[in-house]
Amino acid sequence: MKKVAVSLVFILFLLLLFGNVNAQTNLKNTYNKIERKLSEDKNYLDTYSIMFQANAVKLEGLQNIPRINDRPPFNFNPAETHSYEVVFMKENSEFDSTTVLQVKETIDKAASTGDFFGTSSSESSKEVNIVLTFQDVEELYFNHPEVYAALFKLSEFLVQNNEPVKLLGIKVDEQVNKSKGISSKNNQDFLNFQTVNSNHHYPKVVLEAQKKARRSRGQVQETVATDYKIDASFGDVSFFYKDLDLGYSTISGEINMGAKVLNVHPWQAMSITAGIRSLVTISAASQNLLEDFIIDARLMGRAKMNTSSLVGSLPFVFVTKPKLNVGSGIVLDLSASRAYGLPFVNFYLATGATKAFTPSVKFVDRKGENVAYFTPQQWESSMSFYWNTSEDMTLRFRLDVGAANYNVQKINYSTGGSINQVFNKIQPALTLYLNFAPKNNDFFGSSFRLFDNQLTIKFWLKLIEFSSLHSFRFETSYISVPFMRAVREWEPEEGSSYFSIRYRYGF
Amino acid sequence: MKKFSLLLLSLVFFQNGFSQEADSVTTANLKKIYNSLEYNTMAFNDLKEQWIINDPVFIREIYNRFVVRNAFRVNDKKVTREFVQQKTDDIYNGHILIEVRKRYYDDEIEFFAFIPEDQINQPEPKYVFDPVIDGFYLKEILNDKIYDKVRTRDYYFDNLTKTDYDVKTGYYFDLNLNLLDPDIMYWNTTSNARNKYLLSLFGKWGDDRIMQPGWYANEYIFGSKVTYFSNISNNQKNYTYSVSLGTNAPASKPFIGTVPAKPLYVSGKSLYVKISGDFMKYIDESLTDFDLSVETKYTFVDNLKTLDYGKKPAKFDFYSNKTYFVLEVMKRNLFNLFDFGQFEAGGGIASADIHHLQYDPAAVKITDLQGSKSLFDKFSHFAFVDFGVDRTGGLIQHNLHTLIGYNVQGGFGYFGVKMKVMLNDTFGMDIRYFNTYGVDKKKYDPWRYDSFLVFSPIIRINY
Repeated sequence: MKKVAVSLVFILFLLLLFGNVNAQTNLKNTYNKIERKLSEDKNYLDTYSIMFQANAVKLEGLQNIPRINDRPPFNFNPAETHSYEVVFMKENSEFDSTTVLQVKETIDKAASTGDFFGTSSSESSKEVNIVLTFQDVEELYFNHPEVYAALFKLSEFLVQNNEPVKLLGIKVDEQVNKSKGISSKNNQDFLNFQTVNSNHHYPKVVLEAQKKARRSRGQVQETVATDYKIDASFGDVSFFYKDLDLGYSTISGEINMGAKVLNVHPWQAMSITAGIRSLVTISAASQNLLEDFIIDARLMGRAKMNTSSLVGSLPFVFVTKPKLNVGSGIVLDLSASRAYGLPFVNFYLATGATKAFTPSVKFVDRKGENVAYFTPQQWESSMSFYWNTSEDMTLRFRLDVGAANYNVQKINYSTGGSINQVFNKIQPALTLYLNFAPKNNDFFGSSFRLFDNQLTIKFWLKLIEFSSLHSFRFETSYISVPFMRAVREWEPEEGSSYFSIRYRYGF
Repeated sequence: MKKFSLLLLSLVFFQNGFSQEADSVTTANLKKIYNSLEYNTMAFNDLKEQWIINDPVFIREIYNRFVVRNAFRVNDKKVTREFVQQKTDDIYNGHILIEVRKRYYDDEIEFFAFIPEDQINQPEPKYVFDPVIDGFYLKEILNDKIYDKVRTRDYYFDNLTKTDYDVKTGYYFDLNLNLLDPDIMYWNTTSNARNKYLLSLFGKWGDDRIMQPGWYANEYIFGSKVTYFSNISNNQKNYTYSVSLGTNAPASKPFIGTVPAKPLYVSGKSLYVKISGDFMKYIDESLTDFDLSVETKYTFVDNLKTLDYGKKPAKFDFYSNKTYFVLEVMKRNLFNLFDFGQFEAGGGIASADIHHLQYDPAAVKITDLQGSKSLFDKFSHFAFVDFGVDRTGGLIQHNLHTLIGYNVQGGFGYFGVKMKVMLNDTFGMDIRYFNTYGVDKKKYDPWRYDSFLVFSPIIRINY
């Protein structure tokens, strides 16, 4: 009986002893995990540090600070070459006050030894040691609370007088994710689009993201101002001179060989359009392009030009001989930024005489009659909606939703030249634009337009840019044959395409 | 001896008691610090990359690292060899997999746990051992090479990452491009910072309830619409009321099958009005989610002249609908149908007139071939029920409905399905198919088809 009792006592003793050892091991493991995390996790530690020199602060109660593992007590070194850094965690959901985690010591060896060559001290000549590890600090907290209190007081004092350094590696403010990108509430998207796509000059607006980057790197915005601005391609040319900047408005000139509403390529339209374009800002006291009401207006004249035979010779236009003549007249093309919260609106009108017209192209139709078709009037009205896939505005979208119309007159020379309107229909017009502009630099653009049962696809790609002044783009476009309806007599029987090189100077 | 034993035991017990209590306080405090060190991204837990490792060989490789490092813990305590052996048998049988989750802003692992197969997708799964919640500690157990292999997912795994956010409604602009019923919301305002008035352009091609679906209607209605939300909502169906005013224009069919001998044409300029809303709650507060709508088209300018129809070479008969009226009520959110969507059901009545006309190029005016009939006699009446499920939010949204109706004068019934499915509320498809039943051939309108298939792609841009 006595033996049994002794055995039980012994077993109980071992169990209690083992339990204690187990708890100690557990504690040690947790310390190791934290020490490891503090030393290796460079991204996610939500901690702060604050630097000080021992000779600049009062170190009451912080002499001979005990340390674990038989290391000698620690004393702050007041020498100029020694600086210290308290690493701490601010109050959070678990702790109501600051928690000190570590104290690091940096020794500037170059300063202490005196650099022979007189060069400044560098990072490589600095030695960083953790003088009070996390476990040291925790031991102070539990076993020497008065020393920990002094350390805590020191860190509180430092924080009151200096801004601590955030040790969080991830840039949470710059990595804010939104589910569907953004759409600007002012003229930003409109200006971004026009700057990249318009053949006339638009002031370049610096994006917020770029402003931040420049500020952080201490950079100044680069501006290259030129007296002239030229945009020229195989199908159009525009020109601006600095004296035509009137402050509230800029005026530039343009000549082009296309016809906006119609599903035709430049030169295929058999007309030439020339005139002026004015960018007007209606401002309050001071001009602010991002907020002001902006009108982009073109007033132009259009004249017929027989390019029917030339089209076959031009190496950059791939079309059959055009059959639709475009009438002479005037052209008004307006785009306006948001007014009273309405979307961006666009309006285009080209109109001329409906009877007095001598066509460039006549042909014999399916009935064997000698006929000509011409379109004296086109208009289009649309609303533009803009959005971006992210705040960086690298992928930019624009969708134009509206209606367009053109009419077609038929002159039948077999019946004495009688003129009859054979087509006049208002139809929906939808155009989707997509721009790729990394860091606000124009690089790639495309558009997809659906009108009159035909799809027009356009692409451009920047080829080269030098001196921030000269740039070249390659452009191409394709117009499909009509789908889900029959081909009309004035329309080509097959799809057509066109390419061009665009040169931009001063944009 | 006895006294000595008791004394020794008491000393050890008290010393241990105090020591263990102190240690447990210290451990608890340390755990709090350990858990607070990282930048808290709790709000993104459901969006973080997460997956289940189900590669049996790789699971053994990892498991073995834990065995060798003696790293298994249950409630922070080391586990017995027997327990590990028992779980190893489960590993042999492939009953234990590994759940892994990455941090939100970088590539490190923040959660790693051995999980029994039957606990996957449970609301509060019971893990085999304590999960490892620190990638750097996990790296210590596994070593750098295996840890990187876990991160790069170069093995068999099941991806559990949520691919997208829930869809939210924006009130800046909303472009719902659907050929059958487009809606372009381009302007909004508020009168008290909680409500919203939305102004939009709308279109409407055909009407299912009077059996003129989409393309078969030969007419497109378009106009302007005001929608009022008394409280802004993420569900666009939660509007308070909506008023639409529009007019009509002729439309051609995109895909033409066999055209009936006597087609349906537009014969005038019409006014279209629709008023809908959750009005019944004003009768009784319990009557919520009832969508009541009244809709009518009335032709106020008749195309009576032959020239109004253009120059045609020969005489022909045709039909035309000048007026229609639809009254419908739909109860939404009746119940959740197996998480497939909210069940909704409704019904209504409709009336539409049909005019039998004749075009004669030699005549100045169009002839009404049923001139002897009174206007009322030209109307035929419909009754219909409409039910289905609607799901909003999430990655996929859908609205699947069945419509069954009967035309009293026309002597036919019709039924069909309407399916609208959207991905991320951005891209989708609207497909509708209708068929007739119990057709009385003598009464059946010659301009009607026997079955109808209409569809349209949908693109929705909402900010």
